[in-house]
Amino acid sequence: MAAAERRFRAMGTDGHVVVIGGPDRLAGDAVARIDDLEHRWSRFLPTSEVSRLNERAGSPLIVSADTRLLVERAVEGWRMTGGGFDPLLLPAIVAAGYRSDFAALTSSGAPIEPGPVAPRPLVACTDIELGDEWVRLPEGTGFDPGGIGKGLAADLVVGELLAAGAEGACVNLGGDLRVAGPGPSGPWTVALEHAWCEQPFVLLGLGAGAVATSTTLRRRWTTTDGTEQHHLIDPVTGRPSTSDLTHASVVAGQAWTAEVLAKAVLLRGSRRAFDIVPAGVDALTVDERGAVAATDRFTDYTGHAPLPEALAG
Amino acid sequence: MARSHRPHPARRARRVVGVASIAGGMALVGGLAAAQAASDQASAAAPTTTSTTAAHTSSGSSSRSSTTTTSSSTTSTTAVAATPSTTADTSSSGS
Repeated sequence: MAAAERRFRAMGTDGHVVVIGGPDRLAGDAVARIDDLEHRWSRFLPTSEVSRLNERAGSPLIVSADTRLLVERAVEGWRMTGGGFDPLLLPAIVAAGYRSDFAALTSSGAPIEPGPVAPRPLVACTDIELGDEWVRLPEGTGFDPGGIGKGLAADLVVGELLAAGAEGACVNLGGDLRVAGPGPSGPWTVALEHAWCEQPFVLLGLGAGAVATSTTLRRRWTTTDGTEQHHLIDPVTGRPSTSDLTHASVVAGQAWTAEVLAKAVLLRGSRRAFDIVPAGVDALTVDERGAVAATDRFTDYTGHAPLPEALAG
Repeated sequence: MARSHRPHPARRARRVVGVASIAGGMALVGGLAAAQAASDQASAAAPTTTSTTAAHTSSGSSSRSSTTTTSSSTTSTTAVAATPSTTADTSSSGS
């Protein structure tokens, strides 16, 4: 079946779009649509709607339907994970040093100056207000679209590709991916990769659905005080997570759901990793020693091929 | 001149949010419906299986906590498993 493919940079990560069937323009349209969403959602672009929301925290701001949906999904993700995923941790991630585009931040290889440590406001996502066309963040907070923006973008664009005539589609933004319809040669095959392995350590088969991976082994940096940091903030401590898990991959119906659950699973640590995974969703983890664990039905997606017991570090 | 009693938009929204909280998230789920349609198009076009919130609380595998009842209808579209081929179409490594 004819497939159009694009690889590109977007949302601070690698993007990959595959379109099966439909008009020739669809793959290009998908990349343009992702660029449009990045310009609405990036916290690093001062003109984005998310940047304006953060600047105006405490006051209502009229936003696009896409941005309202992003905030609404983020609140739902917070509820779904019992607060394990928290989109209001922007001050904490900035305090850890991650205050600009990661590639630009780390391009010199020099240690990063930590940001100012802001007092943590006594607010929760329930304090986010959503009107028909506007959003109000609680005063003193900041919204970090992070991974959920990539996942939701994948969901939206795949849906739009099918509505525009594609028979099948895959949108992958930094490992948060959504597939639907047929792939180039049947069901979609998704490789799970780990920083310790040169080759994929698991292959997943998907007729439809989403995969997302969170890891503490990428987006790491050293601050000027010699502390090694990473981008996954523990909502309990407001600091980069010290979970014994280094990798969590989740298979779910939608990419935004998979993304928030992957983050929450990783932050929970190996002892309680899967307690939060709802039925119909499956997860795989790798701990700091390389031990692999998964929910009971994860191997449904491997064709019942066994998972490796451990990865070599 | 009599003052208008029309509440500020933010105050009206707080009222709506309060109702949503009291309804245990049901209003929120309803409010999501329109936006949900776009992101569910892919699944609607594919042979997905669906489950309800009630199913989530009753059909979990034995390895999962019975207290995992916070999932909502927004997770009701599940992935469809297939046998992978030996060549990957795309990859997930985290970013």
